[in-house]
Amino acid sequence: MILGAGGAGLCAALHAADRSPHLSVTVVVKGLLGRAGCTRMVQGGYNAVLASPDSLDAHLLDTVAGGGWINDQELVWSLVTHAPGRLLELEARYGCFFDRHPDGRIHQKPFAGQTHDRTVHKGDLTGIEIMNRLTEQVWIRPSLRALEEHRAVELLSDGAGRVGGALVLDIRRGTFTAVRSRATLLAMGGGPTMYRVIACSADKAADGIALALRAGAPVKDMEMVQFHPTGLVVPNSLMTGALLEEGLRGAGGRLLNGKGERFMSRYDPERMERSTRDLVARACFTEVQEGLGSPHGGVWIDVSHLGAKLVETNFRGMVKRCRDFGRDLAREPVEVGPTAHFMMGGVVIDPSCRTAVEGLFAAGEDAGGVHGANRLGGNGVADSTVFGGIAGDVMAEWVMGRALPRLSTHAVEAAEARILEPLGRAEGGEGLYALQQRLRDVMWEQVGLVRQASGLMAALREIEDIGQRAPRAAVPGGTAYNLAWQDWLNLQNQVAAAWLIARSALERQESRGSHFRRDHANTGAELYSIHVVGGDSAGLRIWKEPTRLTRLAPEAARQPTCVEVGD
Amino acid sequence: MVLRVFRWSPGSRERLQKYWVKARHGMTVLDALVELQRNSDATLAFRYACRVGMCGSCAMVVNGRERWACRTLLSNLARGPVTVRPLYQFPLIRDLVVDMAPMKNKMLEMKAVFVPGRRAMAGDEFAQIGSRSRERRAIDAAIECIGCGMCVSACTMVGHDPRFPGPAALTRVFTLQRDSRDGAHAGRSLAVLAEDVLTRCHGQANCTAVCPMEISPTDSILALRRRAVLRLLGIGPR
Repeated sequence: MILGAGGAGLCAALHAADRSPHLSVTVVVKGLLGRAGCTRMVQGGYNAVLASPDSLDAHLLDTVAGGGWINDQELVWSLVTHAPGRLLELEARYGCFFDRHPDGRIHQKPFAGQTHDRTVHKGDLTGIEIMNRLTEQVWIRPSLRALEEHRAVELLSDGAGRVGGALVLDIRRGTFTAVRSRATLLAMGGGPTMYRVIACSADKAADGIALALRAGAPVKDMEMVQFHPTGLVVPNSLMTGALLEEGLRGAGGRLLNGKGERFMSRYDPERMERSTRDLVARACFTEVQEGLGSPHGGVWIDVSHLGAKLVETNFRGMVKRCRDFGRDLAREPVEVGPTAHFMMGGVVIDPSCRTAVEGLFAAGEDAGGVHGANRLGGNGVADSTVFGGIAGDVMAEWVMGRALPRLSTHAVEAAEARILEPLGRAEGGEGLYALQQRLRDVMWEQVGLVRQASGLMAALREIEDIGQRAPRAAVPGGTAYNLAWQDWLNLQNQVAAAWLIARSALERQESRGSHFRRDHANTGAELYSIHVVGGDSAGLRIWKEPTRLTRLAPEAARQPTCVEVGD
Repeated sequence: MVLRVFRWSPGSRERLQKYWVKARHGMTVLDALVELQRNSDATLAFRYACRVGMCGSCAMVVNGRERWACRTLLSNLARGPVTVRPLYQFPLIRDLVVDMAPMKNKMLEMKAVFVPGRRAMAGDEFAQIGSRSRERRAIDAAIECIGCGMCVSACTMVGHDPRFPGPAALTRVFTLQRDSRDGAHAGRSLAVLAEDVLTRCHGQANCTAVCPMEISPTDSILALRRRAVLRLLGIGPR
């Protein structure tokens, strides 16, 4: 059973089906097959080493240096060695189109933080192309079954500590099915939707992280949340946070604060707007926090001096995106601000995607360790398709000869009862959406781009309070296609992940990659990850796990804090 | 402003329900629906995912025309009440939510799925197809479909002839027939010659008018027709 159907879920399904066509594989997806999640939203592209002078070692080094040296280097090595093959597979077996040079070679563009032109793309809509082709291939494989608009609400144990399936809710009908599976993959794509401003798909709710935590699988690096500096600011609209690509700054775009100052001169006078993305994002955030923001709490990006024609030719998609909201990117400044983009942290896996819990696997944004403290642009979709494929292969082998687990009806009934409880409950107390807003506000203010101990401790108290109240919130309506009920489930998962982020951020008393502590602004010498495990009655356990430098050690000359990242 | 929203659930009669929404600057149709659902009527059902115009989940009929709710500003619509109903030509699930399976089924009937050709299957290197080749330029103009189903909803022939595959499936067939890596051209060429396929399109171009990705299914269908004729005359590709 594959939970989630982005790049990781669909690659896992295809690999499992092609490895063992007689297996029955079920894909469970919250939305429509191929349309949910973030792989679809990838603009930039796919990092893969295809030709010299680029090399696997260079891709490894760029990824680890970008990740602040706390990546799991074995996972990174898997990523860089499998990426070229997976890319060829996407093209030759599934029919993806990527941009090419006039002579027919694949076009690779330079992406920030990388020493070679490595990023394969299809215009600025690479994700749509990949997801459309993967989805078609899933449709035609008879051993694959997709449960659309279904979601796993609880992982079910077989009584011996193994995951033996999941309780699945049919969102359309509002009915439950206990699905037994010999192997279960978490590929639900993380998703920092517990922040006020988001770039990722709005259907995500860190479901996989919350399920893993409850099932007792350790997670790591949860404090590492990536913020992108230029999300669109559209007051009153969900469109807020949608990315404007960083090529705008690369081409000479200027960032101005509410007073019209090029404020980057105060943060990085040498590189100005072309400074590293975490630094630019933090600078934008600081300007707004200090009351120097634009009217709607952002800053301005101005590319009009580049010439309208150039902007309209080179940034067609971005111009259209702005035009739909009455903004003329080519001729006037547009309001932008930092936006929560990606969770580097996630479930601890080994290079075969196995978690610490037998029967449970994880891949893509649900898994941690590949990107360390910061992800390079173009490594996200490579991660999901590479590890999704690995998980599919491994699981197809792993289930051989294993019996279908037995599940306890008691656990199923208890989970159903818990989830049905808010329906029809008398209203009163704080509403679901008010609680969700509180969560998003406190995460943004205290656990966002700039953190410190006092704020993190206050945030933890607030998150715990929301966590107490959320299950008691009332949900009007019935079980069938009830958005409020789905959001009630989402909120509890968001609270669980939010707590992990805040708690891990408190534990890491230094600044590294995307994690910045005002009270500990320096990067320490020690390399480690924060691990958290839950699931038993003893409560959560938190510890520091030293990073194992299995392939590379940091050189003194290379400062890990200088990173740029893309989408 | 007044929002009139199509409501239906199994066992009930369909109706347009009237709501008042405070229209604020910058609000889209999707924002208005989300606000209604969160603050006025929690039982209202509609579908969305990415909310920025990439997933194609929130297509609906707004004031009589297919639109993506997430990218449609209320201020760009005509003054007066805004009427929102689900896409046409798809079975209803609840309120604004429809079952998109028929579009997928049409794609499968038309074999609109890539089948690796023998060269592609050998698969140890990338096919070398230039960015300025005719093949690639033709495909590029038609490939960025987000699967929203608006073209299918707007197509009068889909409503008239249930066997007509519809603009989305035929557009995908077109890109596959131009794709030299694909190994199933022959089967698809036969499929498009069936009575209810290419000849059924009357070229009204409603599909092209509503496509949010600025694709022209009409052009794809015309191109398929030209190829079919040439092929029947024995002077065309395969």
